[in-house]
Amino acid sequence: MREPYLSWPEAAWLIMQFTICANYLFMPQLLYSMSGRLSWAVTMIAVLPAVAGVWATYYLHARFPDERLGQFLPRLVGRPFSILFGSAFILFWLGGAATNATVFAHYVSDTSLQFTPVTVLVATNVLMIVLVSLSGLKTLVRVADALLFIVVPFLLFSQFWPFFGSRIDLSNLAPMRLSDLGADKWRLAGAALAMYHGYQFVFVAGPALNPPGRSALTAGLVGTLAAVPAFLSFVAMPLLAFGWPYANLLTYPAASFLEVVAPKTGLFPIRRFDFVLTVLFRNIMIIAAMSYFYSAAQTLSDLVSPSARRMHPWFVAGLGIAVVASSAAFKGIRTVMQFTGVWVLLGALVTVLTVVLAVVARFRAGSAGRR
Amino acid sequence: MRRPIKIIPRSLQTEVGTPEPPDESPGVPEPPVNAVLRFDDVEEQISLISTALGVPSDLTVRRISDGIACLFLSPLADQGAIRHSLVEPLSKSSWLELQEKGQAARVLPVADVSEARSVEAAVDRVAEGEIALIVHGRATPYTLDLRGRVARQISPPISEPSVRGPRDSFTERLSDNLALVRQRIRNRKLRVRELTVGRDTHTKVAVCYLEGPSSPEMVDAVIQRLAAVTTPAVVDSSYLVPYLSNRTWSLFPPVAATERADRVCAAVLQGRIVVICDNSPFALVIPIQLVTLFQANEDHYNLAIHSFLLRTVRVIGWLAATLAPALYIGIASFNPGILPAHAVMTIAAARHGVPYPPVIEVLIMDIALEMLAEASVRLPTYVGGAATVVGGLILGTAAAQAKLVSNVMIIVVALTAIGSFAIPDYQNQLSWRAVRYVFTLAAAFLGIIGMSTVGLIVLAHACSIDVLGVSFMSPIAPWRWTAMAKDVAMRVPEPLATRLSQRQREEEAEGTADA
Repeated sequence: MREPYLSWPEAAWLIMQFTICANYLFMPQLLYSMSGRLSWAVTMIAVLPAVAGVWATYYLHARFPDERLGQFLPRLVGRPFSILFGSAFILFWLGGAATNATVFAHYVSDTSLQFTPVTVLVATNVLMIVLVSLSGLKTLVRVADALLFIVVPFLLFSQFWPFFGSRIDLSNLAPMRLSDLGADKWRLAGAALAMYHGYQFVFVAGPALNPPGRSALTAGLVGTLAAVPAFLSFVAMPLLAFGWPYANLLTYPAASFLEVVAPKTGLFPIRRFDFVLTVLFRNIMIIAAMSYFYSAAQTLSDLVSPSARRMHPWFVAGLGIAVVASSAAFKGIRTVMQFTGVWVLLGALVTVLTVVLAVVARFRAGSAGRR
Repeated sequence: MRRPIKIIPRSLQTEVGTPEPPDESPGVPEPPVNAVLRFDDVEEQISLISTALGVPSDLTVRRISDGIACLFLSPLADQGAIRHSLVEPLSKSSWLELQEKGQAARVLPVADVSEARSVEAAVDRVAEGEIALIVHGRATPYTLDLRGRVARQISPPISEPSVRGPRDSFTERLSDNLALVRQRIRNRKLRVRELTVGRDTHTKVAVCYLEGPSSPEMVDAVIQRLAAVTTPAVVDSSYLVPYLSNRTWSLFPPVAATERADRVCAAVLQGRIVVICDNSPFALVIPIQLVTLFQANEDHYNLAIHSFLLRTVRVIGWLAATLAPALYIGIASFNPGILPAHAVMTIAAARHGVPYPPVIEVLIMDIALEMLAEASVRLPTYVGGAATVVGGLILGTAAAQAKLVSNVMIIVVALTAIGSFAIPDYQNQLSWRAVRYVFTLAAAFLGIIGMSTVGLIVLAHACSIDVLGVSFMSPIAPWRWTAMAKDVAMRVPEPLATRLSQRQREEEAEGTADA
């Protein structure tokens, strides 16, 4: 039994950031390529599968309040399936950590540190992730708590500020055709299933919830719903500012949009508004990447050694090195985008697995409960 | 009629209650019945104690009357008290009157009279400054606490001055410091637990807390940690800090050190634990949070709005002290594009002719600033001012004119220095001065992105610190909204503060508050 120290608002805040992560750097492009001008609608449609995922996670947490995914999985589905299912989660989370760390490194390399090797930038991101993971979940939660006061004002500012400018043109959304959604429906369905996945953090942080049980449901719902405006803003704002198909031609539509909406007067003390926001959004990315990485490392550790009290530092460091090494395979942002196309499908699989596990737990009552 | 004398050889290991050797013991000759009275046992005890102390020249042996002598280290004893409370009452007494156990306590007008368990124990007490009263026929001396210590008077705080608020501060005398606390907190629930630490120094340490607001687990933990102190010498309260904290390596001070009596009392009233160490004017407050290190006690004496203003200025100062040099490097070397063009041109023009990159410029000036700060602390007050003028104004201006550093850099360093001195707690100030170098180097490698990286690492480090189970970052992380509303950005006015304190206590009782 671990010390419960995570309140539901804290969990919701973490889940929100886990969901948002660095999505503003790659999700708009991904959705534009699948559903064109109507991509913004997908950000709202995707809430429905997310609610199912939240419920399933809550159900599993309620059945195993003191255990993490890697601890209850073997008892729920047996050792072979636990390795199979666990691997899917671990790959998805590790992929998330790698994607976040890498996409951000590429963005920074493209926009401000052109002469710094991308691997160095990835390594600095991963260094932070590994250090926090070594400190444990409590530190991760506290870092996320502390960043609330920095991130929220800028998150809100970036979403509402554009409405005071002249760049927004609502007519850019027209004509809205439902047929856009059917162009690549299977991939789109996968992206919608995977889009809001932050609630999965309960699989790892569940035993720390205070009080356990229903707070997992509240945190999952609030965190997921709080992420919707951010997703909607990231996807819809470039469309409103640049129009279709120009938004689709940009490598980083949301980031380019932020640059465009910054005041252009020479007297404005910060000219590169997008750069400042990038530094601030980097905090969200890091929290998300930490959550992904910690979830993957902890689940792997639990599957290999369920009784271990702490993850071995060399194991965590080794995983970090693996993430940096894997990022070397991404030769440019286009490779990263191709990978994210596969990664969201893995995310869809994990969402389905979450629901499946909840159904299995419902019908295998004997395996549930405290150890 | 005096009894015949029997001289019993004694040793350092003699314990009270050890059965005396029988009269017919072969090694002890029976003296003749009408022998001249001799007090050889008194002399032997004097000799034993004196020898054990190394026959120091400041050891005073005073023979008060027949069979009664006292022995003490004169620098530690209160000569007046010895005369009035010991010599005068006993000068007309006989050693017979002090034979019975506990008799000395009745005869002497001294509160603290005890009987040493052994001569060896008496030696230790004499070394600590107590008086050994040797009485003929008694196996061990009495010991009396008539210490008169050289200590400075209570004076205004030197390291934590304030415009408003009390002017008294702690001194090196533990009893004075405890008196300052008790004068302010006249509450029966104020608890003081004394311990002796330091194998060689036998330093007295008092643990003060208020029963009720303080967590009993925390109090126990502090006492246990102090009892486990293994260091031979505790010459200042700072020697205890590593034992009170469970982290050996930390950027931030795990406890607050203060010489202000009002700050100590405020901490006790808030439920914190205070460790006061004899011979040290700095009390240790535990547990401590980062936000409290940015608070000055004066905040509580000013209007809430004034406190808010001062705290805001302190935070700006802290940001300037920590980030200004790194930001200069970041903008000048990596990210000039974030500033308007004419601002960038101004910086570039100022740097024109400076022969090395901004990071070297920053390091030169930072180190010069550190030297200046260190010199001004070490130098006498009347020389310190001159050194500051020479170092700060003349050297800085000359360096800029010689194009060794840019004018902008001088402004940055000045901002850094002023900001640094705006941080109230000295230990906290030193921590952030160290962090500034990490930011500087990170900015030299990766610009503002590097600063952001270090910022997150420092934040993660601060978030990982727990002092006695309380988060160092509380109430910001984890969120404690009531505590945050009460005394973080500003100290709310009193009626509201009391209500919030009450609510905080309820939250603590429910287990939803951190501290």
